[in-house]
Amino acid sequence: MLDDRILLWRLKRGSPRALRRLYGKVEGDLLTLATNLLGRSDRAEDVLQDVFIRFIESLDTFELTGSLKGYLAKCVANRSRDLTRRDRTRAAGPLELAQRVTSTQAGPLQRAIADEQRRRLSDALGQLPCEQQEAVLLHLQAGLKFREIADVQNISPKTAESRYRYGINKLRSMLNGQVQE
Amino acid sequence: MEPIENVEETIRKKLHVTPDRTLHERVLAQVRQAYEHDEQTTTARWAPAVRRRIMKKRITQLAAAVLVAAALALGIVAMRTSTPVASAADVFNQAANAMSQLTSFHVRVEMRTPPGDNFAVIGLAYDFVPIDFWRQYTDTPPGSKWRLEEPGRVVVMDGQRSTMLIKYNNYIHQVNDLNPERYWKECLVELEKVMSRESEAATGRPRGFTVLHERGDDGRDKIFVTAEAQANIPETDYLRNKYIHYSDHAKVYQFDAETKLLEHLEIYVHDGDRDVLVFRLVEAEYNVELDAELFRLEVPEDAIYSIPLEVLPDNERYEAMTPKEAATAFFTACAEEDWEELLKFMGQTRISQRFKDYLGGLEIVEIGEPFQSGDYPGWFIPYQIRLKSGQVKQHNLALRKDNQANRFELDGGI
Repeated sequence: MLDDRILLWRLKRGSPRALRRLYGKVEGDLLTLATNLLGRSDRAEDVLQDVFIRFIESLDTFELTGSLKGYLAKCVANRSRDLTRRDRTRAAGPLELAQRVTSTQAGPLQRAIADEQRRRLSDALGQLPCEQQEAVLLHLQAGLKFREIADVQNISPKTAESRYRYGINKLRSMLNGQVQE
Repeated sequence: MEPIENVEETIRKKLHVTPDRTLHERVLAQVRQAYEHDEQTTTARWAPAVRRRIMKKRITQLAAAVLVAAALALGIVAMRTSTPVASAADVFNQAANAMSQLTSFHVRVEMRTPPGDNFAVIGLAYDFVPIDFWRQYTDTPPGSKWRLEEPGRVVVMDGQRSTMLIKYNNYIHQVNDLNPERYWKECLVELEKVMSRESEAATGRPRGFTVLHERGDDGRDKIFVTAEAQANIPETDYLRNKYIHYSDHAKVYQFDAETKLLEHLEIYVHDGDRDVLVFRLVEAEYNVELDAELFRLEVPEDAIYSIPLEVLPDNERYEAMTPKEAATAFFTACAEEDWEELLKFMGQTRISQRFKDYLGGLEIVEIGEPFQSGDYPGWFIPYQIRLKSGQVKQHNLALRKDNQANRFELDGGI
């Protein structure tokens, strides 16, 4: 939090170094979030760019509540939701996503298994209702607390937590054929 | 198909997207372009003007040249060894030393405060108000002159005594006490003292402080120190968040790593899950020539002077008053326009016409139960009055009794 405050403070004073540092700090997680929410890397890049530019344009009046990453993740979720609603493009997602993700597995067999897992996971995520998918990704990939997810979805923290739990259980059911409580 | 046993962990790790270099550069270039454009149009006013004129004199320049040469020679050895990062206490200590060497300074800050109110009061919803500090160190005792000014209120210490002028009613308060902190605890007039105090705090509880070294955009090395502090009063207390020291807050200091001089300072009040910027340093000038006129204050001809409350012939009657009775007597005097009676609650030479016009003929709607807050030595008495204008005013009257007459005296809340 303090690091964020220093970054924000310097950003407001026109520091390109602070901009690079903030961007480098959150780029991977925000791109991951946008890619998984949209299922399209080209759109994810647009969202990342839009969110950052809007953030910069609002710097003069921006007041930090929570973490900068949390704030930007909320913006990514909102922007991604707008885009998804507008053109319902998510269907193209899983395959492209599976191709884009960097593999760190050593051998060809392990890589093939990992790719298969990613494809299935991405496919299963795509079948979740949007609000559950968003709750799962915001919590796991952006590290948002249920209270913060509640703000994004305009619901109570309890409902946010329930959406997350339902989503995870459905994923387990789809991926492993069982429901875990 | 292989089962996916830990779905959460798999989502976290295996769906992570690592941006490739071209994407990174492409988006960052767009973002930077927007930032640079935005900086030209909006952030220029944010940029604090830090002007260092340490080397204004030729003799100083020559001395500095000798020191630089010596430092370079020694630096060959010093740079080969790893230099430990200074602790926050060390940084503040070095800053205190650097500031004790100054001959003068001017610092401008902006704070969320009602203009003309006492210097220290803050409000999270108030606009920023500029406050200036000037200090000229002198060779002759007592060692300095200073000036503290915000719109509507100024205090000048001319080397002998301090004089405060509240401009809206030409109220003058003079004391021989030279300590600027009587007007404001967070006052930056005594920068070295502020730094020493932070150094002590950082020594006592180092976990509340963090130190960060960075290369600044001006190419000079900077030291950032953040200091977290807790309010020493409960969350529900009346004075909570009305003064910086009555709030949970974080201070962010920026020092020039070489000169150790303070360049920026911001204070954020933690309010629920918000961090509200309430104080920011916008300009710092060190060792500058200050106009001697800054340390003279022209007292208006019709000034009202503060005076100590005198012991009255019937003082016992007032001494026996409870805070609520004193508040009732105060407002009754206003209602009846009995200004002589009112002066018994105000340590000043007379009542201003503006004050009379505002409160004269008021109607008391309600006087509530007095309460105390923080370490304020007096009482707050909730009241509701109807002014002559018809406006209903609801606030807390501040009365205190720690005076030589031992009776309640108005201290604020009008």
